[in-house]
Amino acid sequence: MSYLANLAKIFVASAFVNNIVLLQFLGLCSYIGLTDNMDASIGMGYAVTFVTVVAAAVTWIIDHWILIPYHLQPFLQIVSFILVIGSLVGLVEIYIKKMSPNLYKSMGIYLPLIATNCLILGVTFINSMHNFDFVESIVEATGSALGYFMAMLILAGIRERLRNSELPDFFKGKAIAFMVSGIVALAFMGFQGMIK
Amino acid sequence: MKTFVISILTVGGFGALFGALLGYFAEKYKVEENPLAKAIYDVLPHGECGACGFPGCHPCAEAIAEGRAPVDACVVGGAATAAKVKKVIEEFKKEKVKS
Repeated sequence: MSYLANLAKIFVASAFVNNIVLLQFLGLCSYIGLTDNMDASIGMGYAVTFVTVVAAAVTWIIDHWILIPYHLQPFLQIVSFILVIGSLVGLVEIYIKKMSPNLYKSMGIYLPLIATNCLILGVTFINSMHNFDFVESIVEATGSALGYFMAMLILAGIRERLRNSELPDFFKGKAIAFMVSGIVALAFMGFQGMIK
Repeated sequence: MKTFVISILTVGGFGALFGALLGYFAEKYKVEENPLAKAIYDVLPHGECGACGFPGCHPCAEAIAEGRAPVDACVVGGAATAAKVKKVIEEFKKEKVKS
């Protein structure tokens, strides 16, 4: 298989077949917490996409230029990767606070919590586990982040409509959000087996 | 021993590098904030527990400064923190009258 076809395969696999939110259940905290607001979901999607892609690039460099040559790989990975991710989140936070105070307010505590979002650490570990090269890592990270963005948009759209529909009291709020995302996850299982 | 030194150098080096970068950007994209909110934030316990109903100590301090929350909004700090917050607000008002 040519290199480009391999990249396309990785992208489709990470965005649809193994969608990071709906089929690997990573990053559910902000997925459920922020989707009651469309604008906040979109802002969060952009922030997570930026952090994931840059973190994948930087952690690949750290992994392959320092950790593997000096045999530090298993035990120093979490510490150094979290360091990179935390710094990137700090950067994004400073930027959003300056450029869009309203978005900063509506994202609230979930913005600094990107630093502990399991999605981003998960992507860097998936890259390291599969021994991806630099371009493959970035493609995998882009695919996963766009998969997250897509899942956020889907759930935010559904919850916007749910707000105006009649529900039994005990389904209101987060309960119906979890049930709906379960159904969406079932729909995404249709992609299973598309890529071997 | 060698592994030990390299690990410390790696993590310490990256920590220093990212810290410097963040410090630079924090200075470059600085946001002017309400001085009263900042003074109130300094006396809050910084537990970020959210018991006051705001998503963290900073939003709580802003709410107190703007009068949207009472001075004893911080549940954890109790009476001691409420007294400190009250003092800060009074000092701030006095300074405003002077200037």
